[in-house]
Amino acid sequence: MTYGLAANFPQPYRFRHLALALLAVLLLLVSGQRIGIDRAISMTAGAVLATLGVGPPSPVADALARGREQLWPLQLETREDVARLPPIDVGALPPLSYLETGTQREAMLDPKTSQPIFRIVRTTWLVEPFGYLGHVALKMLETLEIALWGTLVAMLLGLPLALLSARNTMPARAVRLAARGVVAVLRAIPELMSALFLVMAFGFGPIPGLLALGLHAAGFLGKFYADDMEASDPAPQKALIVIGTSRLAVWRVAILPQVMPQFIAYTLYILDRNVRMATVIGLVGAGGIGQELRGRFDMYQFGHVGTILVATLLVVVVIDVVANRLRSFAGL
Amino acid sequence: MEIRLTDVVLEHVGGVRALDGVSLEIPEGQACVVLGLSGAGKSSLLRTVVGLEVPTHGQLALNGTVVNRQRSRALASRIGMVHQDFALVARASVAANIASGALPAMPLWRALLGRYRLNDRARVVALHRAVGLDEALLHRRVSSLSGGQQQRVGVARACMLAPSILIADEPVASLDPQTSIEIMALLCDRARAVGATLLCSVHQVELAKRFADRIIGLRAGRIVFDGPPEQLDADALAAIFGSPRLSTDATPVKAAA
Repeated sequence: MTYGLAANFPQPYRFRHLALALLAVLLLLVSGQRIGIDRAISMTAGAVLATLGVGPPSPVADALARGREQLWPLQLETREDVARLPPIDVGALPPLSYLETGTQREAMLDPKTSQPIFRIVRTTWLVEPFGYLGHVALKMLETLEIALWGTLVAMLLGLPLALLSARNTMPARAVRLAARGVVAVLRAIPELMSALFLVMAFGFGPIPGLLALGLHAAGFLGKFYADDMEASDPAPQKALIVIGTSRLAVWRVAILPQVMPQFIAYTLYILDRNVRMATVIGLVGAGGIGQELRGRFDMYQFGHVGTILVATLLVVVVIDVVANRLRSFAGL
Repeated sequence: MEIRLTDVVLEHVGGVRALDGVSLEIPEGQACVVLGLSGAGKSSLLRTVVGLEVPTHGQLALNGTVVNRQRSRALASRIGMVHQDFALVARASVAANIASGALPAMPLWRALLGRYRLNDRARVVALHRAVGLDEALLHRRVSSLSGGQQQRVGVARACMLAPSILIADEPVASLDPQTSIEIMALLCDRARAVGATLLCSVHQVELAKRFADRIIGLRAGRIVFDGPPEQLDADALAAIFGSPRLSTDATPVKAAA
């Protein structure tokens, strides 16, 4: 009797678990082969060894080192050939800027022999020492604005969708299913993909960016708002419905006060996420700092790229801190 | 408002009969208390009258109008209800909770913006005082109040539209004896103040005897006693609650021993 019970005592793992673990290992082996995990490991290890100076030269380490060298020094100034600018008044240059004259070797083709020849030209440049930094700052501001408007679009679309898809605000099942479907589709399309098509429709710039962020986040907020409203205490809602209160009034008085802290938390999270997404969404041409990064990267201007990377890092960290402060301020 | 039930049967999914042929007539202004064990059908009876349940058979009439399936909003708003679990919005203020009782009579935009009319606001303050709450509590969150205070808020909310019927489903089940007496007194007082018919369920016999004009005893979905409190003798109590020796809870104890 006692032994029988002991034999039935739940074991931490059984044959079933062992078989599952084996299956998982097998799957990882097959997938690792396809992805090339072996090469990932050998290349990374080679790069680490080469950097430490104990192994043969590694192409990965070399490429990274080249990139690092090119990113530094950061590009802060702008330098423009005065000959290509509209006439400028030397007495009234933009603040902090100055004119610099120098000689430059210019390559060209000899029109007769088609051989490359060089000639020395004298050029005057208008130099703005922090001109590019200012440009990046403006692009960064645009990025934050895209994130802000994307969040607003998400709220304005997400809230009605949530009202249509929560059981306690929309009694009609068909409408609920349709709204849930729309929300699921919105959430399923990644921002970068929708931005790709929105850029085709609206052209380059911040408009496709904020729409792409807004649509995806609307799918997110629509679901989370609705789930939260459905999970709210039904007792006060029923108490108001029995006396003949309309659904929307019940929502406003008996549901909204209950879910408000969660709503604020989700919306802040979306704002935080949108700032991070807005920095990369420009890579497909949807405005902001990403578009600037893409352009400079494609022109091999790595000094500019370095400035952009540092600025992005700083802003994302600052926004993270601010969002956390806001959250604790709201008592969440 | 007069309540009349004729042969009302309420069947839940699975064929369980919560009400099994209840016929009852409650004249306007009467304070009527329903007594019975848990599961005897007290809640089902009250929920049917208020419209949360639809009778499977039989007829429910309010002031002579049959309201079995659908009832108009205007009629629904003439019934106030006090709940066992208070059913208040815990994160909202006392004032907002009391005022929410007036929502059926308000245009939607006022509800959405939270702009209550001046006379509604005045009524909130008056009711707040009438149910014996301290003025300092008016703008406090309901969740910071004691159970007894919360039920006072519940009573005030139910009275916002000066109801013709006041339904109270176990209003004192989760309160201590002293508070229970106070809340019952308050309910009867408010019902009398607006001339409402009071239909209230409790499981304490003393409370029923003290506050009711008329007691209705339910057992297994049937009316087993109907009369004034003076007639509620030992036989009537046995009919409602069963004799202690034969009560169903005693059986498993015997078997285990």
